[in-house]
Amino acid sequence: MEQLIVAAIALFGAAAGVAGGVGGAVLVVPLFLLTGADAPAAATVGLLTVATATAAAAPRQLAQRLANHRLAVTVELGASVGVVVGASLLAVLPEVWFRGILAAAILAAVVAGLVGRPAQGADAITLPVAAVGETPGTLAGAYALGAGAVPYRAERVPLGMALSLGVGLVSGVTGTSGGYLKTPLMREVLAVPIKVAAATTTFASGLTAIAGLAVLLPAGAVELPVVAAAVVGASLGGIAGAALQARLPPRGARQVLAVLLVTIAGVLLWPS
Amino acid sequence: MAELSGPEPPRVPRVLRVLPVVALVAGVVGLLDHPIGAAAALTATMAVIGTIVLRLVLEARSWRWPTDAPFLLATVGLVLVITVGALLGLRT
Repeated sequence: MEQLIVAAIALFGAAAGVAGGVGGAVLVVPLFLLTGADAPAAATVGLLTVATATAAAAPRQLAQRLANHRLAVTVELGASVGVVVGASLLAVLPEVWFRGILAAAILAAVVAGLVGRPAQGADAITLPVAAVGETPGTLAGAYALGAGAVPYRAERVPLGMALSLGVGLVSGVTGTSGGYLKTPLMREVLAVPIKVAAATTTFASGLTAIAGLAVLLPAGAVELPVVAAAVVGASLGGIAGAALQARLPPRGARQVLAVLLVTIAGVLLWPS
Repeated sequence: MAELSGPEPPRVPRVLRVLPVVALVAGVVGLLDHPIGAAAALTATMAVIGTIVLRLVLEARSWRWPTDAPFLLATVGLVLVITVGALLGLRT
Protein backbone atom coordinates (compact mmCIF):
# COMPACT_ATOMS: atom_id res chain seq x y z
CA MET A 1 0.00 0.00 0.00
CA GLU A 2 2.86 2.36 0.90
CA GLN A 3 4.43 1.66 -2.48
CA LEU A 4 1.20 2.57 -4.28
CA ILE A 5 0.97 5.84 -2.37
CA VAL A 6 4.60 6.68 -3.09
CA ALA A 7 4.17 5.86 -6.79
CA ALA A 8 1.04 8.05 -7.05
CA ILE A 9 2.67 10.97 -5.22
CA ALA A 10 5.80 10.67 -7.36
CA LEU A 11 3.79 10.57 -10.59
CA PHE A 12 1.82 13.70 -9.75
CA GLY A 13 4.83 15.52 -8.35
CA ALA A 14 7.07 14.75 -11.30
CA ALA A 15 4.47 15.72 -13.91
CA ALA A 16 3.58 19.02 -12.27
CA GLY A 17 7.16 19.75 -11.23
CA VAL A 18 8.75 19.21 -14.63
CA ALA A 19 5.99 21.18 -16.41
CA GLY A 20 6.53 24.15 -14.10
CA GLY A 21 10.31 23.86 -13.88
CA VAL A 22 10.29 23.21 -10.14
CA GLY A 23 11.68 19.67 -10.29
CA GLY A 24 8.91 17.74 -8.54
CA ALA A 25 10.28 17.19 -5.04
CA VAL A 26 8.77 20.42 -3.80
CA LEU A 27 5.41 18.70 -4.30
CA VAL A 28 6.46 15.17 -3.36
CA VAL A 29 8.24 15.97 -0.07
CA PRO A 30 5.29 17.67 1.70
CA LEU A 31 2.79 15.18 0.32
CA PHE A 32 4.92 12.26 1.52
CA LEU A 33 5.29 13.99 4.89
CA LEU A 34 1.50 14.05 5.16
CA THR A 35 1.44 10.25 4.91
CA GLY A 36 3.47 10.07 8.11
CA ALA A 37 6.97 9.73 6.69
CA ASP A 38 9.88 11.39 8.50
CA ALA A 39 11.95 14.16 6.96
CA PRO A 40 14.94 12.06 5.78
CA ALA A 41 12.62 9.52 4.12
CA ALA A 42 10.57 12.25 2.46
CA ALA A 43 13.73 13.97 1.29
CA THR A 44 15.15 10.77 -0.18
CA VAL A 45 11.93 10.01 -2.07
CA GLY A 46 11.76 13.62 -3.21
CA LEU A 47 15.27 13.59 -4.62
CA LEU A 48 14.65 10.22 -6.28
CA THR A 49 11.60 11.76 -7.93
CA VAL A 50 13.65 14.69 -9.17
CA ALA A 51 16.43 12.52 -10.59
CA THR A 52 13.97 10.15 -12.27
CA ALA A 53 11.91 12.95 -13.80
CA THR A 54 15.07 14.59 -15.12
CA ALA A 55 16.23 11.32 -16.66
CA ALA A 56 12.83 10.61 -18.21
CA ALA A 57 12.64 14.09 -19.71
CA ALA A 58 16.17 13.96 -21.17
CA PRO A 59 15.40 12.70 -24.72
CA ARG A 60 12.57 15.15 -25.26
CA GLN A 61 14.54 18.07 -23.82
CA LEU A 62 17.59 17.33 -25.96
CA ALA A 63 15.40 17.25 -29.07
CA GLN A 64 13.84 20.62 -28.16
CA ARG A 65 17.24 22.20 -27.43
CA LEU A 66 15.74 24.39 -24.72
CA ALA A 67 18.10 23.53 -21.86
CA ASN A 68 21.47 25.30 -21.67
CA HIS A 69 23.95 22.77 -20.28
CA ARG A 70 26.78 25.30 -19.89
CA LEU A 71 24.49 27.43 -17.75
CA ALA A 72 23.41 24.37 -15.77
CA VAL A 73 26.93 23.32 -14.72
CA THR A 74 27.86 26.94 -13.96
CA VAL A 75 24.92 27.43 -11.61
CA GLU A 76 25.12 23.90 -10.24
CA LEU A 77 28.76 24.14 -9.16
CA GLY A 78 27.88 26.31 -6.16
CA ALA A 79 24.51 24.66 -5.63
CA SER A 80 26.02 21.18 -5.32
CA VAL A 81 28.30 22.32 -2.49
CA GLY A 82 25.27 23.69 -0.67
CA VAL A 83 23.31 20.48 -1.29
CA VAL A 84 25.99 18.26 0.20
CA VAL A 85 26.27 20.48 3.29
CA GLY A 86 22.50 20.77 3.64
CA ALA A 87 21.84 17.04 3.21
CA SER A 88 24.43 16.34 5.89
CA LEU A 89 22.50 18.63 8.28
CA LEU A 90 19.12 17.04 7.49
CA ALA A 91 19.45 14.20 10.01
CA VAL A 92 19.84 16.60 12.96
CA LEU A 93 17.31 19.25 11.92
CA PRO A 94 13.96 19.34 13.84
CA GLU A 95 10.95 18.72 11.56
CA VAL A 96 9.36 22.04 12.42
CA TRP A 97 12.46 23.76 11.05
CA PHE A 98 12.35 21.48 8.04
CA ARG A 99 8.79 22.56 7.22
CA GLY A 100 9.43 26.21 8.02
CA ILE A 101 12.53 26.52 5.83
CA LEU A 102 10.78 24.82 2.92
CA ALA A 103 7.67 27.00 3.23
CA ALA A 104 9.73 30.20 3.52
CA ALA A 105 11.78 29.34 0.46
CA ILE A 106 8.67 28.58 -1.56
CA LEU A 107 6.96 31.83 -0.59
CA ALA A 108 10.11 33.78 -1.46
CA ALA A 109 10.09 32.15 -4.88
CA VAL A 110 6.43 33.09 -5.40
CA VAL A 111 7.11 36.73 -4.50
CA ALA A 112 10.14 36.86 -6.79
CA GLY A 113 8.13 35.42 -9.65
CA LEU A 114 5.19 37.79 -9.27
CA VAL A 115 7.04 41.09 -8.81
CA GLY A 116 10.10 40.41 -10.98
CA ARG A 117 10.76 42.15 -14.27
CA PRO A 118 10.33 40.19 -17.48
CA ALA A 119 13.54 39.09 -19.23
CA GLN A 120 14.55 41.49 -21.99
CA GLY A 121 13.63 40.39 -25.48
CA ALA A 122 11.86 37.36 -24.09
CA ASP A 123 9.60 36.94 -27.08
CA ALA A 124 11.43 38.90 -29.82
CA ILE A 125 12.31 36.70 -32.78
CA THR A 126 15.47 38.14 -34.31
CA LEU A 127 17.33 35.06 -35.53
CA PRO A 128 16.63 32.27 -38.02
CA VAL A 129 15.59 28.94 -36.55
CA ALA A 130 19.03 27.55 -37.43
CA ALA A 131 20.46 29.59 -34.52
CA VAL A 132 18.59 27.52 -31.92
CA GLY A 133 20.91 26.06 -29.29
CA GLU A 134 23.86 27.09 -27.11
CA THR A 135 26.61 29.51 -28.17
CA PRO A 136 30.06 27.91 -27.54
CA GLY A 137 32.22 29.60 -24.93
CA THR A 138 29.39 31.74 -23.56
CA LEU A 139 26.28 31.54 -21.41
CA ALA A 140 24.17 32.58 -24.37
CA GLY A 141 22.03 30.91 -26.97
CA ALA A 142 18.67 30.98 -28.69
CA TYR A 143 15.43 29.06 -28.35
CA ALA A 144 12.87 28.26 -31.02
CA LEU A 145 9.64 30.23 -31.20
CA GLY A 146 7.38 29.90 -34.21
CA ALA A 147 9.42 30.12 -37.41
CA GLY A 148 12.41 31.84 -35.80
CA ALA A 149 14.68 31.89 -32.80
CA VAL A 150 14.81 34.15 -29.75
CA PRO A 151 18.34 35.05 -28.55
CA TYR A 152 19.29 35.36 -24.90
CA ARG A 153 22.40 35.92 -22.82
CA ALA A 154 22.83 35.31 -19.09
CA GLU A 155 23.58 38.45 -17.06
CA ARG A 156 25.02 38.96 -13.55
CA VAL A 157 26.57 35.48 -13.56
CA PRO A 158 28.81 35.93 -10.45
CA LEU A 159 25.77 37.01 -8.42
CA GLY A 160 23.79 34.08 -9.77
CA MET A 161 26.52 31.63 -8.79
CA ALA A 162 26.74 33.07 -5.27
CA LEU A 163 22.97 32.86 -4.80
CA SER A 164 22.95 29.31 -6.15
CA LEU A 165 25.13 28.27 -3.20
CA GLY A 166 22.34 29.37 -0.86
CA VAL A 167 19.74 27.68 -3.07
CA GLY A 168 21.76 24.47 -2.85
CA LEU A 169 21.88 24.71 0.93
CA VAL A 170 18.08 25.04 1.07
CA SER A 171 17.79 22.14 -1.36
CA GLY A 172 19.93 19.89 0.78
CA VAL A 173 18.17 20.81 4.02
CA THR A 174 14.68 20.34 2.57
CA GLY A 175 15.47 17.40 0.30
CA THR A 176 14.11 19.16 -2.76
CA SER A 177 15.77 20.06 -6.04
CA GLY A 178 15.54 23.78 -5.41
CA GLY A 179 13.94 24.23 -8.82
CA TYR A 180 11.33 26.49 -7.24
CA LEU A 181 14.20 28.89 -6.51
CA LYS A 182 16.49 28.12 -9.46
CA THR A 183 13.93 28.97 -12.12
CA PRO A 184 13.18 32.42 -10.60
CA LEU A 185 16.92 32.93 -10.04
CA MET A 186 17.70 32.20 -13.68
CA ARG A 187 14.83 34.35 -14.86
CA GLU A 188 15.15 37.34 -12.52
CA VAL A 189 18.89 37.46 -11.77
CA LEU A 190 20.42 35.90 -14.88
CA ALA A 191 17.69 37.34 -17.19
CA VAL A 192 17.20 34.01 -18.97
CA PRO A 193 13.81 33.49 -20.72
CA ILE A 194 11.36 31.42 -18.68
CA LYS A 195 11.23 28.47 -21.10
CA VAL A 196 15.03 28.16 -21.16
CA ALA A 197 15.18 28.70 -17.39
CA ALA A 198 12.60 25.98 -16.75
CA ALA A 199 14.27 23.46 -19.06
CA THR A 200 17.76 24.23 -17.73
CA THR A 201 16.46 23.96 -14.17
CA THR A 202 15.04 20.52 -14.91
CA PHE A 203 18.49 19.29 -15.95
CA ALA A 204 20.34 21.14 -13.16
CA SER A 205 17.90 19.71 -10.63
CA GLY A 206 18.93 16.22 -11.66
CA LEU A 207 22.52 17.09 -10.75
CA THR A 208 21.29 18.52 -7.43
CA ALA A 209 19.40 15.31 -6.74
CA ILE A 210 22.46 13.17 -7.42
CA ALA A 211 24.52 15.23 -4.96
CA GLY A 212 21.80 14.92 -2.31
CA LEU A 213 21.21 11.22 -2.90
CA ALA A 214 24.94 10.58 -2.66
CA VAL A 215 24.66 11.71 0.96
CA LEU A 216 21.20 10.34 1.86
CA LEU A 217 20.85 6.96 0.12
CA PRO A 218 23.64 5.19 2.05
CA ALA A 219 21.87 6.16 5.30
CA GLY A 220 19.00 3.83 4.33
CA ALA A 221 16.16 6.26 5.06
CA VAL A 222 13.78 4.28 2.81
CA GLU A 223 13.32 0.62 1.88
CA LEU A 224 14.20 -0.55 -1.62
CA PRO A 225 10.56 -1.22 -2.68
CA VAL A 226 9.81 2.42 -1.86
CA VAL A 227 12.78 3.44 -4.01
CA ALA A 228 11.34 1.38 -6.87
CA ALA A 229 7.89 2.92 -6.42
CA ALA A 230 9.33 6.43 -6.56
CA VAL A 231 11.22 5.61 -9.76
CA VAL A 232 8.15 4.10 -11.45
CA GLY A 233 5.86 7.00 -10.54
CA ALA A 234 8.38 9.67 -11.42
CA SER A 235 9.30 7.99 -14.72
CA LEU A 236 5.74 8.23 -15.96
CA GLY A 237 5.25 11.67 -14.46
CA GLY A 238 8.44 13.02 -16.00
CA ILE A 239 7.35 12.06 -19.50
CA ALA A 240 3.96 13.72 -19.03
CA GLY A 241 5.53 16.83 -17.50
CA ALA A 242 8.02 17.33 -20.33
CA ALA A 243 5.18 17.15 -22.87
CA LEU A 244 3.24 19.75 -20.89
CA GLN A 245 6.29 22.03 -20.57
CA ALA A 246 6.69 22.30 -24.34
CA ARG A 247 3.05 23.22 -24.85
CA LEU A 248 2.72 25.85 -22.12
CA PRO A 249 3.22 29.50 -23.18
CA PRO A 250 5.78 31.48 -21.08
CA ARG A 251 3.05 33.39 -19.21
CA GLY A 252 1.11 30.20 -18.58
CA ALA A 253 4.17 28.42 -17.23
CA ARG A 254 4.77 31.31 -14.86
CA GLN A 255 1.18 31.30 -13.58
CA VAL A 256 1.06 27.54 -13.14
CA LEU A 257 4.34 27.72 -11.23
CA ALA A 258 2.96 30.40 -8.86
CA VAL A 259 -0.27 28.49 -8.16
CA LEU A 260 1.63 25.28 -7.40
CA LEU A 261 4.03 27.02 -5.06
CA VAL A 262 1.33 28.84 -3.06
CA THR A 263 -0.58 25.59 -2.65
CA ILE A 264 2.45 23.74 -1.37
CA ALA A 265 3.42 26.53 1.05
CA GLY A 266 -0.11 26.43 2.48
CA VAL A 267 0.13 22.67 3.03
CA LEU A 268 3.45 23.03 4.81
CA LEU A 269 2.28 25.79 7.15
CA TRP A 270 -1.05 24.11 7.98
CA PRO A 271 -0.95 23.03 11.67
CA SER A 272 -0.50 19.28 11.93
CA MET B 1 16.87 32.67 -52.79
CA ALA B 2 18.30 30.32 -50.24
CA GLU B 3 16.08 27.53 -49.06
CA LEU B 4 14.68 28.33 -45.63
CA SER B 5 14.40 24.84 -44.34
CA GLY B 6 15.12 24.47 -40.64
CA PRO B 7 18.09 22.66 -39.19
CA GLU B 8 18.06 18.89 -38.91
CA PRO B 9 16.52 17.75 -35.66
CA PRO B 10 19.31 17.05 -33.14
CA ARG B 11 20.15 13.39 -32.71
CA VAL B 12 19.46 12.11 -29.24
CA PRO B 13 21.87 9.31 -28.30
CA ARG B 14 20.06 6.00 -28.15
CA VAL B 15 21.47 5.21 -24.72
CA LEU B 16 19.68 8.26 -23.29
CA ARG B 17 16.41 6.89 -24.66
CA VAL B 18 17.05 3.35 -23.41
CA LEU B 19 18.25 4.05 -19.85
CA PRO B 20 15.02 5.73 -18.64
CA VAL B 21 13.08 2.75 -20.01
CA VAL B 22 15.45 0.42 -18.16
CA ALA B 23 14.82 2.44 -15.00
CA LEU B 24 11.05 2.15 -15.44
CA VAL B 25 11.11 -1.59 -16.14
CA ALA B 26 13.55 -2.26 -13.31
CA GLY B 27 11.41 -0.10 -11.04
CA VAL B 28 8.32 -2.20 -11.81
CA VAL B 29 10.27 -5.40 -11.09
CA GLY B 30 11.59 -3.72 -7.94
CA LEU B 31 8.05 -3.51 -6.61
CA LEU B 32 8.01 -7.30 -6.29
CA ASP B 33 8.38 -8.69 -2.80
CA HIS B 34 11.20 -10.99 -3.91
CA PRO B 35 15.01 -10.97 -3.63
CA ILE B 36 15.24 -10.07 -7.30
CA GLY B 37 13.18 -6.99 -6.52
CA ALA B 38 15.96 -5.49 -4.41
CA ALA B 39 18.47 -5.88 -7.22
CA ALA B 40 15.98 -4.41 -9.67
CA ALA B 41 15.37 -1.39 -7.42
CA LEU B 42 19.09 -0.75 -7.26
CA THR B 43 19.33 -1.15 -11.03
CA ALA B 44 16.54 1.39 -11.46
CA THR B 45 18.37 3.89 -9.26
CA MET B 46 21.65 3.42 -11.12
CA ALA B 47 19.90 3.77 -14.49
CA VAL B 48 18.37 7.07 -13.39
CA ILE B 49 21.65 8.49 -12.12
CA GLY B 50 23.48 7.12 -15.15
CA THR B 51 21.14 8.89 -17.55
CA ILE B 52 21.84 12.29 -16.01
CA VAL B 53 25.59 11.80 -15.74
CA LEU B 54 25.80 10.43 -19.28
CA ARG B 55 23.79 13.35 -20.66
CA LEU B 56 26.28 15.77 -19.10
CA VAL B 57 29.25 13.79 -20.37
CA LEU B 58 27.86 13.60 -23.91
CA GLU B 59 27.12 17.32 -23.97
CA ALA B 60 30.54 18.18 -22.56
CA ARG B 61 32.21 16.14 -25.30
CA SER B 62 31.32 18.87 -27.79
CA TRP B 63 32.89 21.58 -25.64
CA ARG B 64 36.36 22.64 -26.73
CA TRP B 65 39.39 23.84 -24.79
CA PRO B 66 40.10 26.75 -24.30
CA THR B 67 36.82 28.18 -25.63
CA ASP B 68 34.72 26.28 -23.15
CA ALA B 69 37.35 26.02 -20.41
CA PRO B 70 35.17 27.54 -17.65
CA PHE B 71 32.40 25.03 -18.29
CA LEU B 72 34.75 22.05 -18.54
CA LEU B 73 36.34 23.06 -15.24
CA ALA B 74 32.91 23.55 -13.67
CA THR B 75 31.94 20.05 -14.77
CA VAL B 76 35.06 18.59 -13.18
CA GLY B 77 34.34 20.55 -10.01
CA LEU B 78 30.79 19.26 -9.98
CA VAL B 79 31.98 15.66 -10.20
CA LEU B 80 34.41 16.26 -7.34
CA VAL B 81 31.69 17.74 -5.10
CA ILE B 82 29.34 14.81 -5.78
CA THR B 83 32.18 12.40 -5.01
CA VAL B 84 32.83 14.13 -1.69
CA GLY B 85 29.11 13.94 -0.95
CA ALA B 86 29.11 10.20 -1.60
CA LEU B 87 32.10 9.75 0.70
CA LEU B 88 30.32 11.71 3.43
CA GLY B 89 27.22 9.57 2.93
CA LEU B 90 29.20 6.36 3.21
CA ARG B 91 30.75 7.53 6.46
CA THR B 92 27.39 8.18 8.17
